[in-house]
Amino acid sequence: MITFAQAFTAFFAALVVTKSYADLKRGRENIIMFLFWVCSWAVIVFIAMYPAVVDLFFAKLSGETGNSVATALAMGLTFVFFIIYRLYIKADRVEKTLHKLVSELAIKEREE
Amino acid sequence: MKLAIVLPAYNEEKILRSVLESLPKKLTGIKKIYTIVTDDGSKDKTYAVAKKYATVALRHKINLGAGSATITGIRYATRKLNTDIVITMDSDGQHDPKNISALIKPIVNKKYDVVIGSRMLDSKGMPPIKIFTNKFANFITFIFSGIWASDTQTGFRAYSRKALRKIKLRTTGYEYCTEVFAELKRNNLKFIEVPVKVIYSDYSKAKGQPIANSINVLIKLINRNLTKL
Repeated sequence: MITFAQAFTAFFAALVVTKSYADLKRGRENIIMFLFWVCSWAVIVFIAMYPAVVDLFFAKLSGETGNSVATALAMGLTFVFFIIYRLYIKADRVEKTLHKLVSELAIKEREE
Repeated sequence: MKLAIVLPAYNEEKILRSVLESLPKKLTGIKKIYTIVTDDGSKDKTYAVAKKYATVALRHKINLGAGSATITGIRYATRKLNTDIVITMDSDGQHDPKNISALIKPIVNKKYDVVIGSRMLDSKGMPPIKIFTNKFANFITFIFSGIWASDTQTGFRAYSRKALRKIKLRTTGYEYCTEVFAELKRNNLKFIEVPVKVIYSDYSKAKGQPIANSINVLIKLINRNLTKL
């Protein structure tokens, strides 16, 4: 029997993949990114549908401590921090480029 | 020597004219004085006032922050006017133009590369919360640059041409105040602090760096140092 959480996850995954496919068709996203999202959400849906398999996986990872939940959370958090850092760096680069463009434009307009 | 006075301005139509008119027209050791106002995407008539009363008026299409506006003004001064000294100051009337001669004197005499106008050397009249946040900012600047100064957050500074050639700023917001000190250390530039008077009015007190922005500044400084590695 499927739980509400599993149905919600599957629905949300379908929504994201559909949107990603629409972006691919409009040329806003490339095929690599689309495949990345499909695979990522496939993994998330698999974890939601088969939590026992995941428990076994993290139990092996956590070794003798046997604390599979803590291991899963720690790994998940690490990954999330990594993503946040990458996003921050990208946003920072865009901001710097924007600053340079606006500054150069201000000087150029003065000279015209 | 040629001097450029750079004033970043954001929504300063009410006070900008009086600030520009109060700037000195003659200074010892200076042949020509330019005033450069960078309108940082103001929503009012700041740019129109700047065009009328400043030597050069530059305009950012969008608001980027005091650091960016200052850098744009400095870029113009060094690239197009080839000035020997650049002074940066606030356009909200907080800085006393009478202090400009004290700021440029050590550079005109070729003794120093950068002069910092310190509000803390005579902090009479400064609100206690500003004294506290300035001291905290000095500590943060010391961590990032190894330089201890009495007022690291002042926008009232003078730079020689040599200093401007060597200083490479990578930040664009208020954190540039701190980043300059890191560049002074990196390039072995000589600097000195001179006391300056601050004019605290209700108008100027409402301006300036909000305290809540200090977290953002700290993160950007950490990022600058991490991406430098």
